[in-house]
Amino acid sequence: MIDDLHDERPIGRSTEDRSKALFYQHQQQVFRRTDRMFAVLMGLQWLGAIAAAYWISPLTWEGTASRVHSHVWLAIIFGGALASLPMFLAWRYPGKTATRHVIAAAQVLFSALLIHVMGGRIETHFHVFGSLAFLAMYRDWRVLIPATAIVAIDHFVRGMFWPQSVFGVLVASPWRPLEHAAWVIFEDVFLILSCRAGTLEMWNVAKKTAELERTNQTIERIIAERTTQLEVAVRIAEGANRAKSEFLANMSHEIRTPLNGILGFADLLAKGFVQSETDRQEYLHHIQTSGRHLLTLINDILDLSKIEAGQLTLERVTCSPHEIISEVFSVLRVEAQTKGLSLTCNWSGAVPKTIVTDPVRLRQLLMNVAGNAIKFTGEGSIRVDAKLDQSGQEPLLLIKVVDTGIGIPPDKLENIFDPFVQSDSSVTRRFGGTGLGLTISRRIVTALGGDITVDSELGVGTTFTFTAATGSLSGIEMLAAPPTDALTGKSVVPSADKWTMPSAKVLLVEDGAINRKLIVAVLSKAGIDMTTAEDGQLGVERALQEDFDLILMDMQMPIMDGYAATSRLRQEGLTIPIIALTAHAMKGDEAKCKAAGCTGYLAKPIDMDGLLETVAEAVTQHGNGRAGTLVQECLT
Amino acid sequence: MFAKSHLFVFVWVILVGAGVHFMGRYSLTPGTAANPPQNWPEVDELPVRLESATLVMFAHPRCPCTRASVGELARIMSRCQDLVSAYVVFMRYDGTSEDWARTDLWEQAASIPGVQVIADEAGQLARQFAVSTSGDTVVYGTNGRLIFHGGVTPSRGHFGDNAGHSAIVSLLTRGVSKETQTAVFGCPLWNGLELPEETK
Repeated sequence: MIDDLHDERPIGRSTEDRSKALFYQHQQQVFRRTDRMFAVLMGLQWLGAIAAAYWISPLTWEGTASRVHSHVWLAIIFGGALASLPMFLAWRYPGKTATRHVIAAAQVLFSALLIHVMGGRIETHFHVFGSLAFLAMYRDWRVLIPATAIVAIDHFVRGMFWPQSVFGVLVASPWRPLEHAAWVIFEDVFLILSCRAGTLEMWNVAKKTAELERTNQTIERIIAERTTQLEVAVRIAEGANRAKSEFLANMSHEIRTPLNGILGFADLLAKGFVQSETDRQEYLHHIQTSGRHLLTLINDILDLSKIEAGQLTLERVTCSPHEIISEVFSVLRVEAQTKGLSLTCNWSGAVPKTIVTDPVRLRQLLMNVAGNAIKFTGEGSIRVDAKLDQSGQEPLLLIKVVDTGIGIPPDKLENIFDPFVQSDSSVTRRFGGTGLGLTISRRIVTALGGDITVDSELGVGTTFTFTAATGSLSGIEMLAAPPTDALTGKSVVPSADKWTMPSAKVLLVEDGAINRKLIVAVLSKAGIDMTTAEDGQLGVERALQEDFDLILMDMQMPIMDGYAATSRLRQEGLTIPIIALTAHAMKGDEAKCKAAGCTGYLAKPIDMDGLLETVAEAVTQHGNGRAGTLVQECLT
Repeated sequence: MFAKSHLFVFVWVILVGAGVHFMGRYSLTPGTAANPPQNWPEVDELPVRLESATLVMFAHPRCPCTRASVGELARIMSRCQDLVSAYVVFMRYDGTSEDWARTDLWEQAASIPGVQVIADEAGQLARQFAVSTSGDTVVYGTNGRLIFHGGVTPSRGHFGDNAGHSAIVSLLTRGVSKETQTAVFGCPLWNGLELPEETK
């Protein structure tokens, strides 16, 4: 019977075991229920036999004398005996095999009793067939065996010894009992098929239930997993929200601090609280320092935001590692020398002539880490050890920056790479910085396929070690040692070139009055003939009315922005250079400006030297230069 | 528990076996066989038709077992109504009222086509035919000779095919039968004190 079930799609072992358990559980329920039903039926049949006996043959007679008929006593005593054990077993041992078989035997014997007390009329014999059908409710064909056997034996024995009582003849053929048994077996065949079909159905139900349970368990597990994931996501989101709030709080603090210096000293100057020219110079110096700090902070925040937003795109190109180190050294050497620090670089082992990485980001990374070392080192040295690490699956460029600085307390080491974390708040006051450098560095290192670690001893010094993937070095020339200038840094020779600002007519389109005034002041001082417009619409009108050598276009303005104005001017056939001035300093902004028709791009805050240089270059290249003015002189 | 339950089953099997035995013995134990006269006795209560055989069934009016005998007589009459003069003679005991004998069994017998029901005052006819068991049936041929006597049920109070029924039908329809005497199952017509000398 179980094998039949395997015709259908295969199910897992555990599901099959569960199917069996469910089947047996269901089967037990059927057995117990049918046992109880037969227990009730036994009682009813007992009472029925007594009632039938009393109704049909209450008395037996001998002439005029009478007594209770034997059938009445038979129904009471024999019927009671027949019913007692099945009822007891159904009560105490429901579902047991023995209970079913005793009930089966008792049921056909009840047929005999009822047939007997009701006069053996042919109709009463249907009780036998009804009993067999009733027994089939067990859905266990085996219970038909004792019932059928009792009927067959009864007919066989009586056929042999009292043939008239069963066949109505004094001498019966030996086949007659077989014929009677055959009719019972004939019914049994259908009942067995019915039992089998019922059992098969129970198997199918059990299997489906097991599969359903398994599906439910899977769903519940998935729900639990998803709930856990959701909880984790919620925690992460809450954490991110907290981090954002903390970040904004920090930002606010970090921005307000330099702003306080700028506004405070500007206020002092504005109100004339200046005792001497020395004080004035000092206040101006503080304003400049605070402004630069603010700019650095904003740049760092933008950089970090870009990285956090997943917009850090790396450009993997072939570059020389020792040249990158050399360039960084060139920049930092001046500061190191100013502080009286020794800045050295050591290469261990072979030096790859080129590696594949993002040179800009690698330079930024080394600049951050080495710059930090210089910043936090009062005396002593900063040593950069570089080597190729080929111990792993992929070769790595390993750079170690060792300083003899103030060191980091052990309890701060863990959080040193978190935003706005420095060893303590006094550090910011003493050394400045945004507290974002190491955070950005760690993100860059990760993007470059490496890692960054820190080891520090308070008062002794700090060692930052970071790696960056070099790409495949197959076929790359390996130098025994880097060129000398890579260890010492290229000399930075301030440009002695002085250039002249051609005489030109420039239109400045800028909605900000202060910026407008500032730029007009700077360029007018350089000899430029300045015209201004307050928005894009006015700018377009003036540009089309007059001849200009150059237009400086703010990109974000009311009425008509710089993009629309530039596009409009290009559509009108204007070919003069248009330089974009914008506070949109994110990656892609420059491309957007150029797509609108700009020929140059300057990010705010605008470096005045850069402005002058860009204007001079643009005007000169356009060929409209007039009588030049020496810029260096203009600004002095 | 195992032994205890088996003991229950064993005791039950004994009880059930005893019950089956009692049931079989009771139903299969025949009453006292009749010893009827070999030739038709001249009795005024039972007019004889020479052109047909004569069947007389003696019955206790209150014997429940005789209900099966009367039922079998009805089956016989359904096939042989024209071949036999049939009588059911109900005992009428001294000291009993007429209503005592007028039972539903009487009515059942009276309703059988071709059957005459007669009350046997003080059991005189039963004495003449020397019968002592309810349901006992005698059949005399057209020549007045006894051709069959005995019961027409397979066992006590049971309906169904039986040797007596088959023998009577065979004798009446074909004139021959292997069986001419069968066991009779029913209540005694007499108690010990009333039992007539002829049947002792």
